[in-house]
Amino acid sequence: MRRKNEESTLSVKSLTIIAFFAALTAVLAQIAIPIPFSPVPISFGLVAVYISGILLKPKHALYSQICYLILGMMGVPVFGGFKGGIGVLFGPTGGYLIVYPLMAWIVAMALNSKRNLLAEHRQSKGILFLKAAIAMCIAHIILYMGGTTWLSITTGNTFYASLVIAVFPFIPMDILKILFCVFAIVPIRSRLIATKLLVFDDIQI
Amino acid sequence: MLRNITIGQYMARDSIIHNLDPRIKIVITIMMITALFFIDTFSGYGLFFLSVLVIIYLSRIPLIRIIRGLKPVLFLVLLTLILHIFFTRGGEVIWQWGFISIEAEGLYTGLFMVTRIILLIMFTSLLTLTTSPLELTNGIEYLLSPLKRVGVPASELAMMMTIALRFIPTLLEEADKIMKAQMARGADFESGNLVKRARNLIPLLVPLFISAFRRADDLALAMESRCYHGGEGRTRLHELKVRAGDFIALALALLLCVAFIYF
Repeated sequence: MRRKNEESTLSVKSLTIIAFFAALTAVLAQIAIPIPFSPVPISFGLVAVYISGILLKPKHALYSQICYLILGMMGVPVFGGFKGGIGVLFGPTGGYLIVYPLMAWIVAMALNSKRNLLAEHRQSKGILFLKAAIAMCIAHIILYMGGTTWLSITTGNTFYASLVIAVFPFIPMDILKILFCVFAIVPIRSRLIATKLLVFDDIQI
Repeated sequence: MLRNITIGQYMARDSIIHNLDPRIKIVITIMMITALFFIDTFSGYGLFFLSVLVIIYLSRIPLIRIIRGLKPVLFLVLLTLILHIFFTRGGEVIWQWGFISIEAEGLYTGLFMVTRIILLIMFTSLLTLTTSPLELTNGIEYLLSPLKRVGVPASELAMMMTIALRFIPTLLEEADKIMKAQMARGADFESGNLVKRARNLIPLLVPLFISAFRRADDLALAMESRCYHGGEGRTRLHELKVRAGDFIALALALLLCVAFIYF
């Protein structure tokens, strides 16, 4: 009764949820855990992307990240380290940001698409973890490919050289981030669903 | 930092560049970036650099502010230069010491790419320095509205951005409050190994999620009770108007783009 035509437009409720997750991504991207053996702290940026994927429906996850990117493009310092501006997005490392919506969508598809939600109560916890982990690995591969391609184009380095600069040093940390999302955020999602704080409307679990 | 975050990088000034229509500015920026990637000579870059300088002068933004914007890419710029100088082969040998040598091709490509990155960052930072996030949201909404037909929710996206913009400071503040509250309960965010530290963040994340969901609920209710029903038929306080100056700017930019490529 609230919505006029459910197919094409977003309900006000989903609109606000998407907006809040875009804002939440911006806030979480600023959390950085300093580590002793590396000059680069572990940033929560990617974790925030996956959080949107884990907690939102696919389309909403996609929109929330698009919204986040456009916010950053407009000069709001929402990217890690309070950076922002269209230059960050089109700059050499921008490729690693542009793929965020796609990454969030993939994770959301694996967990929160209608089919997967309906199947969830029949499956064990292990399968849920496995689905999340596989989806995040695929998303990460897309991140590496997309980001590195853009880095190579802007800097003129070979693809391999770009991988050495921008991907290989980050792989161990990225694995840790994926593990964190799988074993910390996915259980939070289950608990939020169980306590009815997280509701995927029109689907009963 | 907290208070200024929603203003972003915008610097309010009264200049020709500031007063241009945001839509035109976005279009010009995209055009210029595209043209930048087609430039293949240093003289083209020279012309680009000159026009950037003119725009900076017209916008009354201090040059130092633009240069400061280059700091985040400094490391990458240096790395790119070094990689090209030592690993791109071709041309005559300029300098050699043992097995290390610098060849003309490497030096040329390195300098070329570095110039491109610097120009890219300089030019794009101008857009966000001279246009406020709200103006940009409006501009993006207009530019995306032809895509409504293929299912892009342009006005909804603009609404979401405005909401997110409004609530980023609130959520930042809330994260800070929750952190302090949990610390008062004995939570430890600053010590332990990596796994422990990551796990310690959970008492911060869960209340933050719940609060976000709750606030989103409240806001949706408030919007619905005020009869929000999407962008259709919405009127605005400040209508965007394209003036003669905007067309002139657009024409100039087009001319410049052609000039860059053929220079």
